[in-house]
Amino acid sequence: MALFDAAYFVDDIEVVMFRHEQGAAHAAEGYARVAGRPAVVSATSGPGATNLVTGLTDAYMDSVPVTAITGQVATWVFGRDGFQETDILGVATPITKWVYQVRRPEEATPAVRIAYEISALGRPGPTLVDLPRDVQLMEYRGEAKIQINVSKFIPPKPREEDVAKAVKILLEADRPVVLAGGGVLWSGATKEVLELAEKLNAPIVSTLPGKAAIPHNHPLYMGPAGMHGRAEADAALANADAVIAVGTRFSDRTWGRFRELQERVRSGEVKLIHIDVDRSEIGKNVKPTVGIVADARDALREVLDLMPAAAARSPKFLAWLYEIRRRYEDAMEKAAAEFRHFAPWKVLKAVRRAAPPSAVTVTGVGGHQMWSEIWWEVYEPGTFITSAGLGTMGFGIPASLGAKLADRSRPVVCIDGDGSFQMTFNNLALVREYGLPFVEIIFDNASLQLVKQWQVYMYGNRQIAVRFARNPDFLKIGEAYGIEGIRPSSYEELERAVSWAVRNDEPLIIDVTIDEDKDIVLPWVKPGDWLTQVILPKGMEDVSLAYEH
Amino acid sequence: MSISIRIPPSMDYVGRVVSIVRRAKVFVRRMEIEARDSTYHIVMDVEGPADEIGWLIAKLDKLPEVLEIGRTQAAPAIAVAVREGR
Repeated sequence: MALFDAAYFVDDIEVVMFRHEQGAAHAAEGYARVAGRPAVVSATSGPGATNLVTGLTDAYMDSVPVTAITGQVATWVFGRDGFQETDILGVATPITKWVYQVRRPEEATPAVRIAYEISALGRPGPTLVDLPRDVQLMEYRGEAKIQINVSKFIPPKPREEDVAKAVKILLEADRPVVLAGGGVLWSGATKEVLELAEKLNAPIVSTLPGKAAIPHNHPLYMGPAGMHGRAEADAALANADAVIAVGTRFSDRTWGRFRELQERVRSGEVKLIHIDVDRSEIGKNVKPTVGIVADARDALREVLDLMPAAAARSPKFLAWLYEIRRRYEDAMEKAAAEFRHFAPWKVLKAVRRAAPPSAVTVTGVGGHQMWSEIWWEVYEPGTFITSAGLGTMGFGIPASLGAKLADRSRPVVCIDGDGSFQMTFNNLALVREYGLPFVEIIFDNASLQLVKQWQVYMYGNRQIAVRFARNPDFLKIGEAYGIEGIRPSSYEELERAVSWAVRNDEPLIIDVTIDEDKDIVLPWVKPGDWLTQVILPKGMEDVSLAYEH
Repeated sequence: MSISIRIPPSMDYVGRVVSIVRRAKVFVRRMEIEARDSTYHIVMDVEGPADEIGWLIAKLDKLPEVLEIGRTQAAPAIAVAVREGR
């Protein structure tokens, strides 16, 4: 209360009141990813603070800078189960870069300053400052010194000998692959990744967060790899003899499992170069041939400076990858004809045609997100925002609001699912209240489709707790918040609607009916499988992702 | 392996250290905390794969409140005690 009362007298703090603290935290993530700097999210003690936890965990998993300020009961109540008392420091400890409970008013300013600074320094992440009520009311007498070591977040320079080894590996490789993670985006290393790939004539593959870093119209970009990656990207990673992995934590979602990779690296069949700003990521899941602890852009620049024009490589590997792409797109074109209503990937193509390249696209979590991973084309770095590491349903709407807050001049399109929508749509109240229009496209298959897919394939088709027997009328929900809506009957109508909303900077809810019985996201590398064990769509039965060289 | 850490004197920070240690695949043989020179000195003897101990140290070193961190082989008396199952 006292903190907000003080904010009443400060003109340059814009307070945006979300309808739920989780929404505020996701909005802070959306803001940070567009603005490139942290947003501050504040909540009261107890339930307010615990409602932030999902958003903070999401930010932690995806390395997003967010600073949280929580209220706390008075210090004399600590441990006595006072009204709305929660040990938020204890709760937030494993999901933050730094937490601090202010015990003296002199600590408040430096604590918030440090929390803000740390959240963006080095590998970004969330921080939290807890303010007990009695401390907020105490008289302030200057600033205390908070003893911590911030300098450890300043990335070290890459070691010359490691860079030289990396260059040698890349030059000697027959099938080098560049793997771009989310760290490429935060480091601003897109240009360097493209330059390196072009010099090596090597395919670029990304993780799901790394998808936002690479323009998809670049001919060497194969797409994201992994559980629901592009088949050509899975093929590239699985058959590379050298991988330079940049700003990625080697997630099981990208690699399926690590055994094959680790064995190949150990035997020398694959040479692995891992560049990451976070020392603890090097060797965490896979022990690389060369590990470089440094900022991604700095390290890549040094690699490029040392690298002469690369020797010509056989174009066969790339040609094989392009052929896999062609076969996949042909198969999906045929599959679309079997849908009575909309085919998810064709929806994405129609929306992409209507949205300008600079439009920021946000997704919810579920089947629609996986279709977006495979099919959404990113043209400008930083314009694709998703909850990758934690996979938080309900992320889409609040993160879209945060993205719009960060840059009101850019259109924002949220690709959402009916399940995700129903988790956080209460935040639609902010659209008219703060003038934050965005296009909300609901992939409406009346089910938790991705969970259903697992039940179909992995649990003998025993479907339980995945179907919505009765969904609300999403357009009427929009109407209640003063937002227009449509339920299109053709791709053309859908495209026109998105164009209209974007052109007029108007909010719009588009309810797109998807055939739930046909909505199976393929390719799919089942959890714990290796990339070449991918399940491909009908029509690709003769395609193998094992390269014959 | 013995890991020594110096942090500001706050149990909140001790909690942060413990939260990382509990997720490492190591066995903690001994853990001591002593307040000295306005800081807490934590000494832990841990057993486990070298890679895992390396990961644990790197993770602990990421905490901004960790002012110093070092590793040494466990003290001989402790090593003997460990061998003898005491």
